[in-house]
Amino acid sequence: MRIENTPGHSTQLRRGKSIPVIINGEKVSAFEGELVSTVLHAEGIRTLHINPHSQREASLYCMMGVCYQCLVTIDGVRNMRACQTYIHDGMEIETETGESA
Amino acid sequence: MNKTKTFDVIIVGAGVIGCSIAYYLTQAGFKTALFEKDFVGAGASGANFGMVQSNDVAIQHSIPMVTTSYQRFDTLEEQLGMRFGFRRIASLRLLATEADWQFSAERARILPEAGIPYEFVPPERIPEIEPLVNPRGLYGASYCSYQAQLNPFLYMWAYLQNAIRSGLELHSYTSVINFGIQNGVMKTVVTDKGTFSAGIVILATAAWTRPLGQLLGRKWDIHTFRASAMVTEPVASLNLRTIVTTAQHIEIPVNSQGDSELTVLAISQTADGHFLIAQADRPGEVLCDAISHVAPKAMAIMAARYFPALRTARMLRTWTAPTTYTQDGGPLLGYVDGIDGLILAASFRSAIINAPLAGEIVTQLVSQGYTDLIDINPFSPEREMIAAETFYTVKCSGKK
Amino acid sequence: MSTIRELVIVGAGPAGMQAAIAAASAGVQVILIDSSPLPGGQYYKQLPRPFLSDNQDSHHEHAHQLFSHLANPHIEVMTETMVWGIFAGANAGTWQVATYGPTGCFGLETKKIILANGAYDRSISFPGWDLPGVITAGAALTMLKHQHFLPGKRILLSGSGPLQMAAAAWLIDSGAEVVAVLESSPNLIKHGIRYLPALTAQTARIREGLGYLRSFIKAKTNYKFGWSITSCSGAGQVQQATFAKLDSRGLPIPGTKETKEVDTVVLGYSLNPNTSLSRMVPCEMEFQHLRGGYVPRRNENFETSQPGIYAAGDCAGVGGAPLSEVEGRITGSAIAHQLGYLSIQEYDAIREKEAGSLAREKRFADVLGDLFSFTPDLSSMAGATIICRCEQISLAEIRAAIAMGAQTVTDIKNITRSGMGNCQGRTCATLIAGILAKETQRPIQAGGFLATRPPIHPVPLSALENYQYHEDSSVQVQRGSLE
Repeated sequence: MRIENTPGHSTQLRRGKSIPVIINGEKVSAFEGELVSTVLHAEGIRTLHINPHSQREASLYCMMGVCYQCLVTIDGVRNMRACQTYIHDGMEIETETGESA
Repeated sequence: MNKTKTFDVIIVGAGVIGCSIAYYLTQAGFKTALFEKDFVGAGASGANFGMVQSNDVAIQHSIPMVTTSYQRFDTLEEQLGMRFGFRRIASLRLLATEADWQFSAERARILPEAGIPYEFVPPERIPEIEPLVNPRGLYGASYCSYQAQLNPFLYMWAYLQNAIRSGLELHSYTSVINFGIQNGVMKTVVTDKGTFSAGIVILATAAWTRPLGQLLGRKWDIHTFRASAMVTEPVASLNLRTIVTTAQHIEIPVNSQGDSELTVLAISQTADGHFLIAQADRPGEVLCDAISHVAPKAMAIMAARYFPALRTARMLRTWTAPTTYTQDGGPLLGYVDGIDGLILAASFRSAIINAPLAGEIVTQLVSQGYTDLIDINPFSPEREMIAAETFYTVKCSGKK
Repeated sequence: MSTIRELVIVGAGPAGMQAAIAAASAGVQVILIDSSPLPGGQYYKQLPRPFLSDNQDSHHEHAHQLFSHLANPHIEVMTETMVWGIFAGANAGTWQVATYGPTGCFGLETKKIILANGAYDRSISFPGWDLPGVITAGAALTMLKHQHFLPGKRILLSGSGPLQMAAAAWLIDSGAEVVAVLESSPNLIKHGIRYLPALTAQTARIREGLGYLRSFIKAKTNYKFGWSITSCSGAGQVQQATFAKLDSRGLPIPGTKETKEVDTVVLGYSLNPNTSLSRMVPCEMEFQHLRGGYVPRRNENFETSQPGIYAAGDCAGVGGAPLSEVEGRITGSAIAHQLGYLSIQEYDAIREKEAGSLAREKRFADVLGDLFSFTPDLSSMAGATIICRCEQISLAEIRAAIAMGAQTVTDIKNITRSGMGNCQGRTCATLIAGILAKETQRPIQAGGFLATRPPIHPVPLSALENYQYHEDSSVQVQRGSLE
């Protein structure tokens, strides 16, 4: 969940301007400067990728581009790291869904 | 306390040939040690992608070895008690020049007579066999169904697992630095981890046989070239039906014209959907296992030329290994003249397919001094080589 | 002919930035490469350009000083660019750095290279560690500080060391309910007192620690020493976390298990040095337990066994940002001297000036290494527990490979495919080394380390196809008889 300004702690948090992105075909509002992984988590999408060997859910883990568990399709390009890609206006993001979801 | 440990047999080199020999020797009850300067399969045995190939035999004398050995695979997984991914799969060799075509015509005449099916495919029929291939500019292809593929590491470990259970001592990361010979008889193997003695020493050392031969004052006629490979992420949407190879090469300048790397291509797809792309470089006496900066690009160009759909796939890893060949295409297999107790089992052109038989032959040589499985005289380590036409003899426009 | 660069630095974190500044101020032409859009690395990670914050670390001012020094005509910063390989160069004594960035693959021919690509979170494995919602402490901090994002509402932390302490404090301050913080290392209490002298002249760190402490007291945080998570469960994502008290060997004590409802688990088991590039070259490696395992062997100028290739900061042994900065300054100066921009007297003077802080930071790094290089012994976990996430290889499969005769992590990789996936073993290699050590009753270093092969991160075939390894010459790829 996005952290909002709270008195006594964060008083000057500011994000970039609001821009639309398309997640699994649905238009949602996000903020410039956000990573794909942030927007997906803000939308409550935690399962990002299904491991092809086992069909198990995979998700954000290291957040620094090392572990390759957060792979999603971005603007038609498969297996992009959600934690290393910043959103742009109109970006199309596709995630995979597991059986237990 | 520095007592020299004694074995019946010491094998040098834990590649496919060494592992197979270790298996057959330990099954026959010999107290055996296997020395490997790196890890199991560190050389070409682990760097290749497991083609159990019959179609590039040196026609004049290795057909009996290949056909006999290939039959062993019918029951090998069962015999070793372990699956190593063996599956029969045809190969398709793309012929891009008239010379390639003529060369294949010769094989198409001889190989079927020897029981290896081998047929021509005209260009218009290539997409029927392999829809992913872009046939533009091709003279046709040769098709061989008498082939298979396996996982080379599991193949080696299937042998080793059984050998270790039967008492094999595996010494990885142990380099042979010298040999002890007394009165023309092989006595000891000196390694960086100590000296070991054995009645018989077997060199299954592929590209490293030459430098080891120099320690023994021998100049065996073995040559090396670099083979590189790379693997893509799994591409589930593409399905390659065969193993595809090209007969001709492309040239890519390394630093300038005339200083170019030559490359031929092989491509296959694993059961998991990964694409394996391999190339063979220009021959040169290199023992370096660091990949050159040119090889990944060369493989990418070659793969994209015939398989445009692969352009969007990501490359996960590349690697390289020195690979051996001989002028006449045959291995060096048998006892070495003048050094009692030294056997060579080196420079197999298609080591994967020949490993089962090589293991059996060497075990017979150790236990009875001769083999009755096939005639190995053409493979005598000290023979005069007569150059044969091989796929690896590529015409080089620049300096050699 | 291609241009030969003087110095390419891989990674623009504390070590890389300091090295660049030191070398450039002496006159060396530097290329500083980083995969992020802005320099800073993980420690000085900058907010995305459109973001603003008043939540600033104590080191904020220092970081901005560094960024301003990067604006030097001798420094060219290549951002959003990753280095995927290092090859022998086309000229005698040169190297080729293979990059992949927004405009494709380019090779940089260079005389000197500094590896300064840092470290990443070390994992521990247990049933359910691969469930969505289980993240590293580094991930939590990046989400909080860099994205103003709270990874969950009810959070359990398990780990060892200051990174998890920082993550816990930030989570609490940002409004998360921290169910418990489990510090697994028993050494904090066993050895803690004797290390007090190492805190001399570490006022910034003491202040930072006290700040965290205030957060924990205010939130009445349940901070448990000598405990560890043992499993997670949930449908599609983590919903429960089970943890236990550890005995002195790190084994969970039966009967101490507790389970809590959570939506997020944060793991902070210290860091692994990022040695992908040094192993690829390959540089000679040596085992340094206190610095996170196998690291490149270096001489007093931080040059590796490969002439011209240097390593500075956490990628050569985890030691923290202050040590990385000292190493960076020394390495940059050493290269300036090698290239003739600094006399031996000038270089010696720099070394002498840095000697005090180098010794102090090394001492502190050793203390942290001893206190927090601890991992719980969860080897009694289910055989079905996934160890290699990319290839989905289980503990049982790894044990089977060891039973077959596998002697090293490389053998296990070759038999099971663990470490052959997208991450090239960065996550699982240390886990497998631990399993092998346990099963064979040998020290962890006896299992060796995995070689890495280019590319260290996946590169599309189309980019490789157009790889320009002669940046300034118009190389025509000759397609031989194909055309």
